[in-house]
Amino acid sequence: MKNNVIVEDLWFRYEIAKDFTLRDVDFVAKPGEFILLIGPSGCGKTTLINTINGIIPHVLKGILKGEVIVSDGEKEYVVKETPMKTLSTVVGTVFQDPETQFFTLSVLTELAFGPENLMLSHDEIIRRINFAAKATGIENLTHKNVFDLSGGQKQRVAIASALAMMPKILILDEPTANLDPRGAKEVLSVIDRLVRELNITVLLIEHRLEEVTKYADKVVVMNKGEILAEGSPKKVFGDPQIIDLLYNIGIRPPWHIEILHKVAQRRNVRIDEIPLTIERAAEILSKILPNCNNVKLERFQELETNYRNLHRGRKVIEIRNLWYVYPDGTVALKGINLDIYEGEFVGIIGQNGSGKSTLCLTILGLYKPSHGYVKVLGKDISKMSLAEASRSVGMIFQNPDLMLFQNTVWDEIAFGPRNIGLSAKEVSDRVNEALRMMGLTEYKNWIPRALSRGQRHRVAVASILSMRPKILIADEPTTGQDYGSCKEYLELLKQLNENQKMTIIIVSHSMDIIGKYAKRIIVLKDGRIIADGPTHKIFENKKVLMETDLEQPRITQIVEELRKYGFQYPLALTAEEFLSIIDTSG
Amino acid sequence: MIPVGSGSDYLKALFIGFVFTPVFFVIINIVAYESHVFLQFKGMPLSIHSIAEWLLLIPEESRRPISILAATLAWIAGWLLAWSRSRNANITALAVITSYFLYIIYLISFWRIPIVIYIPEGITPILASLSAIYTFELVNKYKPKKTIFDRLRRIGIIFPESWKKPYNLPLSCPVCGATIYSNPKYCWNCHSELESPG
Repeated sequence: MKNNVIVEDLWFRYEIAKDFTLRDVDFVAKPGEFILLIGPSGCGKTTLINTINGIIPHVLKGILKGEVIVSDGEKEYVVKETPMKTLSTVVGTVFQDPETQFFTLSVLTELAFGPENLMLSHDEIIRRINFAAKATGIENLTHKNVFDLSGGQKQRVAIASALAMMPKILILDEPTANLDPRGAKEVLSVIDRLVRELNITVLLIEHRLEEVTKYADKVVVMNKGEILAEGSPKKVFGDPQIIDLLYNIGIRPPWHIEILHKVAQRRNVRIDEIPLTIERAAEILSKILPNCNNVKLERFQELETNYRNLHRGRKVIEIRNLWYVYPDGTVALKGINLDIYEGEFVGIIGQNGSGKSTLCLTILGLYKPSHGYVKVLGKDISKMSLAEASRSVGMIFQNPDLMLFQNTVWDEIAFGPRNIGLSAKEVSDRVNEALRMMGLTEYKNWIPRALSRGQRHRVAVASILSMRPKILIADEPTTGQDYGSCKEYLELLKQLNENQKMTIIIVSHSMDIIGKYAKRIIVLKDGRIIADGPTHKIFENKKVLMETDLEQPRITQIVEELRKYGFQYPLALTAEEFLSIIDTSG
Repeated sequence: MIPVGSGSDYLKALFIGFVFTPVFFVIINIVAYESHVFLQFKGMPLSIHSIAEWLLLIPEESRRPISILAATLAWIAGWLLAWSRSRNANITALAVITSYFLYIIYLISFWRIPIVIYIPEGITPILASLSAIYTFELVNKYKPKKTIFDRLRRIGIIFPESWKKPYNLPLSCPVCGATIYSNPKYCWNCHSELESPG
């Protein structure tokens, strides 16, 4: 068989669903091919990969028509007729959250788990552990506890434990979703190496297209259960019709490609080459951009003025000498002093383990300070009950599933208002308002767990919004969401901030999101505040970025690259700002 | 003395003291029995109302010195446990007195037992528990408090002293004068390093 994966005329409908989730899907994957699968939340990407790894139909039941065949190069297996035990030696799967895949406590036993269950000899198990550890660069981690590792390390362990089964096909469902930029790069370069050196077929679902485009051999675009387009990255992202299609379905092409298309349109120039890296994009742009004529961005002036005058507003969060020590002795926060004012839109950034989530949980009142205090709206949060605190501060967690426990979306959103003693009418009004805001009205009677991850995230947001808190904390609001859903969600937060003066705090690894929406950035490292100021000022500070291993927003990176070609544009944070600079420059 | 504290602290203290004082008394009885010291428990089951009687030192046998000691220890243990939850001596003292009267009401209403309080024996346990509560409160107030830094120092984790102080915000950068609403390492405006090395 020439192909490792053949999907023919595939239709699939879940037992509880009315419509087909996959419709007439035809798909092939060759050995050593790196395929990027993109599409809006709920379009069927995860369902498709589940038909390849056997979860459908062996675990998740439904109506399946068509064929899915996988091959290890020697033998072919019809997925629906092959037991999972056999399929797991051909297809390895790595999910978004590596911790949900860990069975044991140590890295070594985790890698051994799969081969042990195949009843292999001791020598063979050791051989496979060594192979998988070397392939993923985790040889020095095998003695460690899996839960002591960083996000990137955990994900590499998850990949290694799948590799120890020696699959010919590796499926990764958003493996970088929970990772900081450094962790994401680490994981993607490991995956690329596996493809090149071991000739493994990789199917990757990912929303962070900028990082992965340069590695992919093929891009497959899905929407509403169908494949709309496929081809090499240059073909897919170089075709204006496909680009329009992507926008229509809520997918944003890689930033550097998008900006190139837009600049080319404005300058009425044809683009012959589609760059896969920011550096190459800057080189191409340098040939078509006008010189900059001393352009200043008004937004930056506004951000700076607002920051300088914050103290004239009402303080909503006051933190003094905050320390937090976990029971195992890890000091997560080390002497944080911070004031946040009403109506601010604050971005908190930092590498995994810098203390961002701990800080948010302390503000929320879930963690009591080990030393120091946190006051919210003038009251010490550690002296308030959680119920009282929830009326002032709401938090939307990174993993929405941690927040969902009711039988219907309606009940989920109504839970909070009901528990604070509101009347049935008030509860109903708030729930309907929240449903409308999050575009969930048609799903109000659905079981939350039956929704896609992006939709579940929206339910989680709606359940907080129905409490109408004064302060809203969003922990990684864009994880697992496509561009369209992210934009909708963030525009909603922006509206709440501008129209209702709600104080918004977002924690995110996406510098593009932070650059676009946050007016103030707080940078954390190892539990300390490294920098705090207006957004553009923080992203200009190379010392801070290097020290914290963070990146600028992509557009800002492009502008920095353009400086090598003599272009002195101000450091734009968004595509719109960059384009307005070009328009002003003529 | 007017007790200061919330109603829920009082009810919590009352519940803990009221329930655990008899529990501690039973434990003391069992330990004594195993040591061949015979208090109320002599190998036969004890009824709740009889325990209550002994705690109030009503039966004659309960007023032997050894029995008074046992009852006093039970009162002290039960009410120190209650105090340890609220750390409020006044609230706990009120709960002690309430509990005393609750035992009396229980015995009178349910068992029609005549109550005779012998002074000073009869009030020794209650006075001892009140003394213990206030003594512990004083000790707790004046003893040097162990901070998180002491605990971390014991396991070899030491931080610079400059990291442990609260700041008056907003700060002003000493180099450019920019206003800063936290205690960062760098100034956002001039990028100067603000933090002194530890």
